[in-house]
Amino acid sequence: MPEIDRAQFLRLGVAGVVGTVGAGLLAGPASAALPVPKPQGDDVGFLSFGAVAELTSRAWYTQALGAKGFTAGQRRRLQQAHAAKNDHIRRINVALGGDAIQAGDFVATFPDGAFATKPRAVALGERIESLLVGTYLNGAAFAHDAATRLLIGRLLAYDAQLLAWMRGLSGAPAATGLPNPLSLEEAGTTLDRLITTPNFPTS
Amino acid sequence: MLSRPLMRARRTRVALLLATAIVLAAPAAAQAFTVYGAASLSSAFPVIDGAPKYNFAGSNQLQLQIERGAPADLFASASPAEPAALFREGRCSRPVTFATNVLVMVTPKTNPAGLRSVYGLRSGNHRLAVGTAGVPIGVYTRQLLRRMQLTSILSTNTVSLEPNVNSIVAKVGLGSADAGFSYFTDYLVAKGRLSVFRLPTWAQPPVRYQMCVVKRPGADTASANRFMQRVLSTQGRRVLKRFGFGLTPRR
Repeated sequence: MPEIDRAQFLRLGVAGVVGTVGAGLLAGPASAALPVPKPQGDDVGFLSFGAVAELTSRAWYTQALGAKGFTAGQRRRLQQAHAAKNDHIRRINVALGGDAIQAGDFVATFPDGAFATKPRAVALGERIESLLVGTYLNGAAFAHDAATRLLIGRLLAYDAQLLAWMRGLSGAPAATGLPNPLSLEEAGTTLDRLITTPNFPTS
Repeated sequence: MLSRPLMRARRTRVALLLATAIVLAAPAAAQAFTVYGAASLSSAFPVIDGAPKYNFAGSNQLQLQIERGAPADLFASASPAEPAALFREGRCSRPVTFATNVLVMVTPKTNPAGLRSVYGLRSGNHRLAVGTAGVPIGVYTRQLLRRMQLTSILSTNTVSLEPNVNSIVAKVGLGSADAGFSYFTDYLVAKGRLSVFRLPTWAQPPVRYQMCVVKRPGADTASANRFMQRVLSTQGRRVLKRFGFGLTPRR
């Protein structure tokens, strides 16, 4: 068995302490619990719109996966995004609590032939992601509750990536300028053209 | 001519027959089957079945009356919250969904305030008719306004709080309010006096009607179940649809 002197023993001890503290520091931020959103006042509007738009977006990814023209790599990305949309809806609904949006209440109704070709499908997907990014930008700036702002910011970060990817698919530059925030009035008018409520009367 | 004893005997027989008829008729009247229904069902339900005795009011008020022992046999609410509470308390059977609705903004036919959409209410100083915070139409209205980020209109306009949707429609129809929030079906009933403005689909709260058979001593459960089946039948659904209600898929 190799012998160690006092100096080596002390060095090993210091390395052990540094290693333990370092690992704790590295693991700390990742495992720290994020604050729970408690939407106040108009915060509910950003999240409610987000939930319905994410449902619509999820429906787009479902149909895009059945459309022609996407490469195997692009399909993998579509599948990942589809799974992420499920996660977004769940997170938003947890924050909404009693105001949570039920999936069965809204149905996405896309225009005829929207998925007939890849460019048409991508154009529609880009439109939906733009709605989400524009509204989340507004929410990230003006939501009252800090934890709600953080949630909206995280959703924004992910959906902005998807928007950039879709712009790449359609051959447009990844970013041609800063996206503008959208009011719920503007975004809602566009979203309403893409959804119906089948079990509810039409006013 | 009849003799006096014969006439007395005949009178006695007639009196006895009358008394018997009254005694037999009395329990029937006391057992009149009673439906407690949301105010928004007051036009459709009597068309589905004209036999029951109806009591239409705000669903929250009806729930309270049933909890205090009111003689209801069937309860039909404009929201699942009230029947669910009664079910939890063991006062009614498991609730069944039978119709849906959506919210609209109504103004008097002439629209004197010149409103073009719900966003026009942001300018303030209008007279608004809104359901109280406890009645389903009031709960749904507040939910919709929260989603649309328009809750401020309840403080920047003069708001009259109404106990049920019929009061809202009456107030707007008479011109006592510039606008109000009601169900689409209530607009249809009074459309001669009202103009309608649709509200965004994405912000609509899910308006679901539920009914349940009331559990109390002496309740006419058999008639309540028959009424429930009638509402859920093809004919009942047809009537509900004619009055503008939405229908959930058959189970």
